[in-house]
Amino acid sequence: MIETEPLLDVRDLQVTFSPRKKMFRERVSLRAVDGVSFQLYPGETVGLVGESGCGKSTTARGLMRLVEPSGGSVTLAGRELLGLPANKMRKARKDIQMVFQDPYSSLDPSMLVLDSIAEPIDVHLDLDRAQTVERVGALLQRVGLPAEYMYRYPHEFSGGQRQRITIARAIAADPKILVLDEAVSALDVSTQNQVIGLLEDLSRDADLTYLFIAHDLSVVRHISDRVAVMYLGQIVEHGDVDRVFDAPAHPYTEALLSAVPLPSPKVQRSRERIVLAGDPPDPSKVPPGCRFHTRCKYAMDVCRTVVPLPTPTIGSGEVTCHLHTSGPQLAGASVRELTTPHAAVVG
Amino acid sequence: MTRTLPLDRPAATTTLEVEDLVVEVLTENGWATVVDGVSFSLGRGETLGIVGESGSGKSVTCLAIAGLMPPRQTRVRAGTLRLLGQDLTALDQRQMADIRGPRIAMIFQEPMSSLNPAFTVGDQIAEVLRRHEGLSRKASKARAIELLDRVGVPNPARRFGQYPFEFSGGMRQRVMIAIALACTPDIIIADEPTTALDVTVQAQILELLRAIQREHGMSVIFITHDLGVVADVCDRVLVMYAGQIVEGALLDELFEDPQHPYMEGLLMAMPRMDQVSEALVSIPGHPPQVGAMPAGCRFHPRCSYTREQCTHGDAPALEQVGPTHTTRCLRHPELTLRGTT
Repeated sequence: MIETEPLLDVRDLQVTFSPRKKMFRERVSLRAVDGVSFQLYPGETVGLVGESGCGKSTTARGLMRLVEPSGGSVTLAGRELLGLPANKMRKARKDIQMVFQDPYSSLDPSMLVLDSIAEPIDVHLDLDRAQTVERVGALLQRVGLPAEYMYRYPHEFSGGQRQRITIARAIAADPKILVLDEAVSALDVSTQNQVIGLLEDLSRDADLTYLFIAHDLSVVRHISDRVAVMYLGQIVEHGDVDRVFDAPAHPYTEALLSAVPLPSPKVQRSRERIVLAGDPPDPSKVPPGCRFHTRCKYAMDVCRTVVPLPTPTIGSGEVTCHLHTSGPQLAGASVRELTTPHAAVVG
Repeated sequence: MTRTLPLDRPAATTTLEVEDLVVEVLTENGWATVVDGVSFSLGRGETLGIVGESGSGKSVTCLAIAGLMPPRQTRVRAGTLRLLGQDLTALDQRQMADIRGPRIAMIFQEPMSSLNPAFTVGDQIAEVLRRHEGLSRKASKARAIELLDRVGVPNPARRFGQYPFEFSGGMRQRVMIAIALACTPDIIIADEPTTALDVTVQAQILELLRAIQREHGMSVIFITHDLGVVADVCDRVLVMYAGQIVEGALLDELFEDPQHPYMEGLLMAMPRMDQVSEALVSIPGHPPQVGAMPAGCRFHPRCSYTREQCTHGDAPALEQVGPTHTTRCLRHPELTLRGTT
């Protein structure tokens, strides 16, 4: 475990939506994020994974207050963000910036690259125009682009170059944390790897901390130190990335990992595949007991009625699953123990 | 599924023969070649993967085979284009429309844009059956419900009357598969059919495609950029770069013993979920722009093995390097490329 204070401490975060149901019917509120807690320690990268609709992006938007959480607490370097008035929140965003998936829609097509990158500088730093221009040039070079590109418009760039520009803008006011929401998902593999390389350099050189949200588990394994797995608005398992990938403790993590096809025909043929039936359940109709029991191949009677509580896993992190506390009593070991009795357990 | 299909198959088991397919598109600077001399054959029951970066010509190749390239801005030429012995180059637009559906069906990445939002899902399946199979309204409805059931849509009778927006991404893709399957075609062309889906749903769809193929013995062309998906579903693979096939091989030999530096680059660039990887490798630079092909080997500006001989003259020929393995690389005899294990 890292001994320092967390840079970002998210406790019991709740985000509730009240979609308009059909006319003359009761409005049903939907908890997209339902009690999510995690910490980001300085310099680390935490991956957040799960199927679409699991609440991983909403968690990010909630902690940035791009959607207003309905409960919980988010402390950034010891300061509570929830409840801050708008002007103070704007100042607090200097330290935590976000990069989205689609670099085509996150840059204003009518603005010069210079002006897009200068926006956070104007808000957060006290620089004159000449200093700003100089800083933008340095930022572009930092992300691997020539400084002259500041006098161009977004349409003149490829997807990879645009994503570099949005990263330059995100780091323009020296933030401590970047929240990367599917930031490399729209790119071809070669471009994706180059942008990941850039992010790794930045985290090393500028001491940046990342919350890395992605559906591509291979990329998450590569870039993350720790990983949290979300299902239906809750974290079901978290831990050091190698522990979670090599010895998953939650049946959902096991199924998610087994669904990723590996680029090796021999390995792929010899793997056991767990095909999860159906789509994730509707977040407005959360199943009772364990939320995953409707799709879980190990589901026991207790899972249908009693909500499981987090328990420590062997190695690192926690898992929220009855298999560890009742029934077969895995007690923190990998769920793979149930299918392959001699599976290696990361100690 | 058999994985020992020879590259050139006897005519009796060949579903599709493509020889010297050329596709040109009209750009601001005149006609530009986007698919340049593609030749391959597809065996009955075989799943052929086509891989490559975006812009390599893999989708255009398949659209051209299905006669779906817009006629005014494109020119398609082929030495041979034969489906079960029938010459497709001799067919006009209307005759090609009769081929699509009963003989060649396509599944695209974006089911939302392939389905008409204004018609119920059932209508769209039944329409295919009425148009091509001549079924009555009643018979086509019964058959459409059967098809929805076959592709794993729960409550098919109720879902028949619903609109595309009422379906999840995975369920929409199942509907597309039901439409493709409606007339039991000889070939299904699947263009990145699972790219927009969650891995869990992708696994379901790939399993479904496999099962359907086993049942009907149809041939599948599977276009994807995901080498994991290729390893999961394909028997044989073609690698495309800048409008040309640069390597072709049976699945295992391609991954274990690649013979073209581009394929080695693609394999090395894939982050592995089952392994701890240090730095990610990428192929430097970008694929060439349409109409600005480099001289010599088209991959030479990005290749780490480039020598003087690679940089001028015509593109190297596609050479046979084994009974089932071809490559378009001048230096292949002297190179030892890394594969995956």
